[in-house]
Amino acid sequence: MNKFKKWQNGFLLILALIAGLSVGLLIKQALTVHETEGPDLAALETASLDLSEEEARYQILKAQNEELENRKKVLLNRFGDNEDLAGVLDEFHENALLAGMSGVEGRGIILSLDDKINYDPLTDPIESIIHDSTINYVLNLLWAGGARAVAFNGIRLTAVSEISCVGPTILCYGVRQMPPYVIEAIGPVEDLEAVLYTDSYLAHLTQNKIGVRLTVQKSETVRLPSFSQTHDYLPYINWLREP
Amino acid sequence: MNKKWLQYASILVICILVGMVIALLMKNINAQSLGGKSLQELQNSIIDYQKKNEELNNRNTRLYEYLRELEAELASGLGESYIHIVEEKEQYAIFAGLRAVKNQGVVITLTPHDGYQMQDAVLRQFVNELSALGAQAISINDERKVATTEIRTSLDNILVNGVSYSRSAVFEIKAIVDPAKIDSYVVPYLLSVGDSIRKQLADDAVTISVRKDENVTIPALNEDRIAYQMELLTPAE
Repeated sequence: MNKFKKWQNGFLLILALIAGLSVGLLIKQALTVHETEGPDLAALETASLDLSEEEARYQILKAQNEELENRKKVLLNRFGDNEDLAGVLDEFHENALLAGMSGVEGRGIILSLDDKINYDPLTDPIESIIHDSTINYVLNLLWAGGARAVAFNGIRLTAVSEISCVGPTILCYGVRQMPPYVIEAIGPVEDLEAVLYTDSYLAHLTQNKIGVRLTVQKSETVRLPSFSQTHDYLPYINWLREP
Repeated sequence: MNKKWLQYASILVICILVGMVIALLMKNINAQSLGGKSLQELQNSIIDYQKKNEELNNRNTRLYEYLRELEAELASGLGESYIHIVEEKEQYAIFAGLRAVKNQGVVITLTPHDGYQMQDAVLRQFVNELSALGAQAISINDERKVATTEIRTSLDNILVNGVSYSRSAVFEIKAIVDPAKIDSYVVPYLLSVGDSIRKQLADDAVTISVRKDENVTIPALNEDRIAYQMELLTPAE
């Protein structure tokens, strides 16, 4: 009899819990209906789903791209056995390297730039947030320091590096970038560090008053992707004609 | 008996309260799973991914066709593979700035007045603006801008690709841009950039002219430039 009572109590407990959940969900639904006047949760959820789909598609396309690029390497190597083509292929690989169309690795630095913490547009100077001009300035310093290849937020920079600003957002080849902005550079590490640490404008930006956050790390192996891993290069040369 | 029912009733009320709290918590978790992003931010991210996906998709389609052709040619002897490889090699050379190119474009001339020494920041600003406008080839005093090009002051000179140019001399920046936008957007925009620079420098420091040119020729990168040195780069496997 005592055992039966315990079961009864337990059953009642579960029932009450389910009832509670149902009431709670009902209230939640009611609140959601009221909230349509404010932030549109349904639209947020749809947009979030769409974003997940696009992200998943990007991962698939990226994997496909890697597979195709690897197949291309294998095929070109097979052509390399042909004496007539060997010289052409050497030049092909050299051009690809100079154009940023092949992945590269080497010693280098990884630099991160970020806006001032809790940036307040009313009290903080405009320099406290990173602009396209700040990125371009740092890139120019790195090239002057002897950088041989650079990627900005994972995008390999080429001869036609489009880094621009739309309002507070930085675009790289038309793609929106978010802070922290990571610049990876292969080159003479000591020289690269020297140009960054001795630059007066960077010293000014990183002082407490301005508050731009800059970190520089050395790395024995910096791996930079090929431009083709993120973009198609042909639209960037379609107006160029031979003289 | 009454006490017993009171006990049941209080358990019931507590469970209902617990259930409500759990449901409300679930709602919060749902909201947090959206990353606290606004609708606008999510839509911007979607547009960015759509753009990236379109580019990658185009690239993959082209690569796929290219590989099919190479495979067919490998199977049937040399065939036209030579032509395909040379064609792509040349496209890479153009993209890298290793070939001279021409088309419609713009020419910006910066003439320093007596005593004024040109600032590297002014040249960089124009070059960056041109890049942002989608210029496909740029030169500064006939020095081709490539990925590794630096523009920096060194005493009385400005170095471009390691070549010195006197800061008191005239600088000419040429660029090939979308022909459809030259008159309607590129030239007016660059003129406004020039005006803004002149105001910052004091009006009598430099004369800035921007003009459209029907036949801009941008030279190839000279082979003795530092950009050709690749000893620090190893192709990644």
